[in-house]
Amino acid sequence: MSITSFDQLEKQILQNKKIYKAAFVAPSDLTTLYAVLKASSKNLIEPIFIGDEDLIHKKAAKNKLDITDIEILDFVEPYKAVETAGKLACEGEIDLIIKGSYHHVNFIEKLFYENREFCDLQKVHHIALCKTKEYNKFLFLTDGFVHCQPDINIKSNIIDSAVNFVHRFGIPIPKVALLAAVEVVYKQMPVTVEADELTKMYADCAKQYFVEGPLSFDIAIDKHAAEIKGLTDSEVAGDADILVAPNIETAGGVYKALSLFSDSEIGGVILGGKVPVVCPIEIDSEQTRYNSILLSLIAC
Amino acid sequence: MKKQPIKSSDQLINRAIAIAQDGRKKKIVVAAAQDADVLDAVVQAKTDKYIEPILVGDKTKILSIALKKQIDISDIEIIDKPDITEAAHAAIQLAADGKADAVMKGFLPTSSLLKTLLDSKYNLRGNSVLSHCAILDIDGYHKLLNMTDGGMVVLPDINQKKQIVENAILVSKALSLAPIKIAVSAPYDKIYNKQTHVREDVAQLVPYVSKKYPEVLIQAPMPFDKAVIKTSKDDKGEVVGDADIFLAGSIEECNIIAKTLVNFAHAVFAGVIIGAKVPVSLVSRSDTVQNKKTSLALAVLVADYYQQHNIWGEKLCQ
Repeated sequence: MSITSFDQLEKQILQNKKIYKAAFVAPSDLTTLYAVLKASSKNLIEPIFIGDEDLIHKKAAKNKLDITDIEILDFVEPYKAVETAGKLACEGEIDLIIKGSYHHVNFIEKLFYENREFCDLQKVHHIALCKTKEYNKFLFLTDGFVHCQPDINIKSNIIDSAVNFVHRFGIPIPKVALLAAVEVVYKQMPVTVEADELTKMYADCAKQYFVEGPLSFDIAIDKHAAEIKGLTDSEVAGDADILVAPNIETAGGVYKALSLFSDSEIGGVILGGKVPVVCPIEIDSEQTRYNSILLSLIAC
Repeated sequence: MKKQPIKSSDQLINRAIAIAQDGRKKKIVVAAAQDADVLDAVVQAKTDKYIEPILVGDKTKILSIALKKQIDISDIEIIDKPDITEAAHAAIQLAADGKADAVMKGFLPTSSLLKTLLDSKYNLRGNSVLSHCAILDIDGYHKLLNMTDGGMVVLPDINQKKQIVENAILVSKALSLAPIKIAVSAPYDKIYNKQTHVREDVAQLVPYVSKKYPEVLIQAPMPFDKAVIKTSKDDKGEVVGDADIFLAGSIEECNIIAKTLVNFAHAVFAGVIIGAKVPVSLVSRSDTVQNKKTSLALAVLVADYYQQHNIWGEKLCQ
């Protein structure tokens, strides 16, 4: 049976009865700290704090948080904390990494761009998961937070990784929509040409999963809009599981638009490294950050 | 008297009605009007008394669609042009002659309508770039958000971005906004050396716009969230959390984020093509009635602004 809500996802992970080791880098970010402590209290993770020990103790004392049982590795410089987390992951000492108060770009550069041992950058991507009221299933969205302008090879890696991830949710035949502004291939619109090439590359995979594009956003998620445009024989149109955006601004913008203005549950995780990485953004609520930890655990 | 800034789609329609009541009701010519959704939209706006439509197209088809969909078009002028190219030319000719204030796309490809519009014999070209502005009324945002360009320019270079911004500023002025706050999109809120377009925006676009338009506040780089919400006191700049215009980096970015807001946040959406001496209105079949009416009201406000301020150097409509 497929997982269709974050509650079900949590139940499924709790059933595993496994406690994952989570490196929490620069843990002075209070909202993420609450999410980490919640996951810890449910015996989902055993956190290791990597950061400025004095600062962490001050934060905890000020907010009356009990962190006495938590192991702390003292690194005043955040970039050293990130390096240490990457090293621990490569040594198999930890199962996931959670970003605290460190600038997103610096964190991504340090962990993914500069650490060859931790990952093959070409295979790294962020995937978000949204459950909105209007759509009857989970909607996966990639990549809003790692690759600025992914080329066709990176997109192909992203599709493979996303399909693999979505399988873990019990979705038997994932449907991948390659987003564009229109659903017709125009040579003046490189995004549509690339989507067409990818669709052809994946034509043989049909029946295990479907990859189709270019599709506009409304056609990907709205059966009625797909019918109006005459896309009635499409497997993906109106019923997409995975939305692959053409660039970082698009996926990031969609993620932020959904977070801020829609009635939806949301979370996200970066896949493709030695371990999954939770990298919250400022607007993420504590619940979103907790959801993101759940996503990283199902990816472990 | 200083006009109140328009902050919602309802206010937009009310302003269009007020303009008509002031004796400046706008004539909107529909090119190839044999389209049920377009007929429905213009009749609704006519019923609300803020436009006077002129239908150009296949008269037989127009009448039969109206009959079938029970749309009352009995007192609307119809110019019979069954051929869509001829219909486009006839409609644009009306605009060129000052007999129509705005053009609405009917049952013909957008590209053929715009090609006719830009035909030099009509002298309707305004700016060098035509761009699309999507005005979104988002529940949870305290003002209208003008997202541009999700419909015309695929991947604007720095010069096209200047023009797109200038077109968007015209719309903001038509909405009586002052000051006008513009957020220039980027993935992150800091300059990041892997992205040359962000550096160009900061080095060229921002100073160009600031110098030319003292009443405009423009900020780059701004990810979408920073444009619409201020999360911490560290966020510097007057545009943060208060953008009127969101300039996207690509057609996909703008189009897909706007559609997300329409589909999952129930945003009201009004679209208009800017850059010619008359605004061009487009509605699609998937638009709600509210969206269609708001789009027409937007065309009315833009046309009225052009005429009242003599934007294109000559009075187009008598």
